[in-house]
Amino acid sequence: MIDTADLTVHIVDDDAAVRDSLSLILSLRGYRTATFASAEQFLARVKPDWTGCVIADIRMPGLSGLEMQHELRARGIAMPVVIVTGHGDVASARAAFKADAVDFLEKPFDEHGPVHAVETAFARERARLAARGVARHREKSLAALSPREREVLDLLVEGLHNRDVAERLGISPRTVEVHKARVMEKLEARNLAELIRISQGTR
Amino acid sequence: VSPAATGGGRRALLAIGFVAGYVALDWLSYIHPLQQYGITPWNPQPALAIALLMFAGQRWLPLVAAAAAIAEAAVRGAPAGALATALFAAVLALCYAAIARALTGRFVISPELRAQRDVVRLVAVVTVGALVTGFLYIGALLATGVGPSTQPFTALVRFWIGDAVGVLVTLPVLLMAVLPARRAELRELLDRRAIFDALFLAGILALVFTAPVEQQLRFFYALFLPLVWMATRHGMVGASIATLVIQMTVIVVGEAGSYPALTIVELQTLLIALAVTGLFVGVTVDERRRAELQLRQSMRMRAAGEMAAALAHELNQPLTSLTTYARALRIIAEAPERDLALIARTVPKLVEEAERAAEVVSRLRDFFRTGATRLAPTRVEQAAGRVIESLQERATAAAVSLRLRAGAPPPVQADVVQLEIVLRNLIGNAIEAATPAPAPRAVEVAVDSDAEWLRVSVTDSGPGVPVGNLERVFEPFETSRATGMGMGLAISRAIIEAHGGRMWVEPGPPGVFRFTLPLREPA
Repeated sequence: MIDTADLTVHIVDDDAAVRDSLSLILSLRGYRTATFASAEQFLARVKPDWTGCVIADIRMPGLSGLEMQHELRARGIAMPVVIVTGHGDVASARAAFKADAVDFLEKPFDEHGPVHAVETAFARERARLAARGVARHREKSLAALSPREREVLDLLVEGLHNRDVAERLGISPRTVEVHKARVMEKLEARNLAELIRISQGTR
Repeated sequence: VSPAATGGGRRALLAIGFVAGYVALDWLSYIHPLQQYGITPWNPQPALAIALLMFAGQRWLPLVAAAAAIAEAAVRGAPAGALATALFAAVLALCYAAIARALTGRFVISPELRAQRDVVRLVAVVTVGALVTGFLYIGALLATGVGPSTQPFTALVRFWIGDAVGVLVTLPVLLMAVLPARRAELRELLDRRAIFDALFLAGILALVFTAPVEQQLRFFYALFLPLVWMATRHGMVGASIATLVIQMTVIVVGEAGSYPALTIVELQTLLIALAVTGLFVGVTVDERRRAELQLRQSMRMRAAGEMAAALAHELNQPLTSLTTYARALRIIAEAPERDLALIARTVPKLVEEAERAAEVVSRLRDFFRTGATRLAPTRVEQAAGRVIESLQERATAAAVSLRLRAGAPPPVQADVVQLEIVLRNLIGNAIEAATPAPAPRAVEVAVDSDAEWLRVSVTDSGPGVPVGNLERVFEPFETSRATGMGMGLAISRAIIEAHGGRMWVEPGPPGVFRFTLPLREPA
């Protein structure tokens, strides 16, 4: 189950007071936070398995928030990014959204701005993690199949009947039946249709 | 003494001065009169009458008529009797009044002659006015039987040339001398850097007028050189002075050398072309200078705008954290169990942010202080020395050596507080840039100068600014930094541009920021 407790708000801002106050108010609202003084610092530490969202200032010495976002995407890190601007101009907002930012925050923040932005980002993150969870589960289940079970599954998915599968593999239809039951159990499929759908989801 | 009495005294003085000047000019310029018509090739006195009527008003018309009558009698001896003389004087006075009226009314000119339109109107009104005056005056002479009926057309042309050239040469100089703004320019021209110009003009005049009489007309065109030179260097003021000097020379040399009258008339015809050319070049130069001034003004506005943007950004940071801390405090206070320790930790942070905002505001106040930059002769190398001294501790802590290299450059007109802001900013940046770079870490401030500019270069051993970022570093929002003079380069450049200088960065490595300041006061 994915919970807010597993998600972290990563705050990247060159202004110490801004990142400290933002971290304080978000933690008071029950979010876990981590702060970084520059885009470079964040990029040096970030791991692909980190989850949550990133709130990054668009204007920083060195890499800007937008450049950092490009770098994250290039590395395949899909955490949603909220861009903070000091002046809500159309150009930077457009650039932020073009770069796939989920939201953007204007300084000074309004009352519910930060929480709202984090919620938007987390909703996106949960959806992403849920999709990733299903996929991972499927992969794990398929990996649990024995080589013979895998062969049986492949042939069934191709549309062969039990008897044809038995003939092709040189085993008895009764054995095919047993393998099929084990496969359905391992993949948590209730019928043949589900079995096909689950197995195809990974191919 | 009551003001009225003073005013009355002043008016009497003006009246006496005018009449004396008018008669004297007519008498002095009474050379080579056309037989019996008494028409001379140069008549400066109408300019005096027109200037008086333009500035003092049409109610001085009777005085002008009186002056004209006195001059007629004194200079030409009133051959046709008192009545005819009064008639001639009245005709002249009315014509001058009409010209003055045209220049202040229908074809109004700005008497400072700052726009081309003014010069076009002046030339048009004066040439047409002189022609009409000549027509009426000669008509009056013929009607009273004073003038012979022979050569009336020649007389008209001579009158026209004499009056037109007289007014076109003399009136601009009078206008320049009367109007305070122009008078200041005139005084400045006479005060300094005019020696070369004067020698140039005198040299060409000598060249032309020592030539044999018959060749002088052929060499006359050479006089356009010093005239255009003067007009280009000193605008309308220079042009009108040069024209007057050339005119005086023509008259004096013509008189001393007892030139044939016809030669002088021919010279005067050429002088009209010369005077008009001078007026147009002068006014064009003035217009261009004014456009430059306006451009400088708008550059200043742009600099101020950039600075405002930088300051807005600078204020935005503390305001953001301030409001966020305040909201956090409310959440803590409203929670069922108040975390007093957290409140105690957070309140000082909030206060610190408020102080930071206040500091930005006070820096802004410092910058604008009295609302304008206070320019005074400033020794840049001394200001740099003070700034280096104040940053020495920081540099030592970062193992960066600070060096000042300066000869004895001349002082510049600058606001010393603002200049120190710029230097502190550049040198502070340089120390910061040199700190992460490999040893030896060094920052050097160099001050040098040429004839026109003082140049300050701040070089650091850091990586410098890549070519692609040379302009970007001066954008207000690129300068955001948590420490130090965050407003940074945008404001520094704004200050330097407001001083009439330029600031730029050279492509790195190493890091080189330079700025210039004009050694001469901006015009």
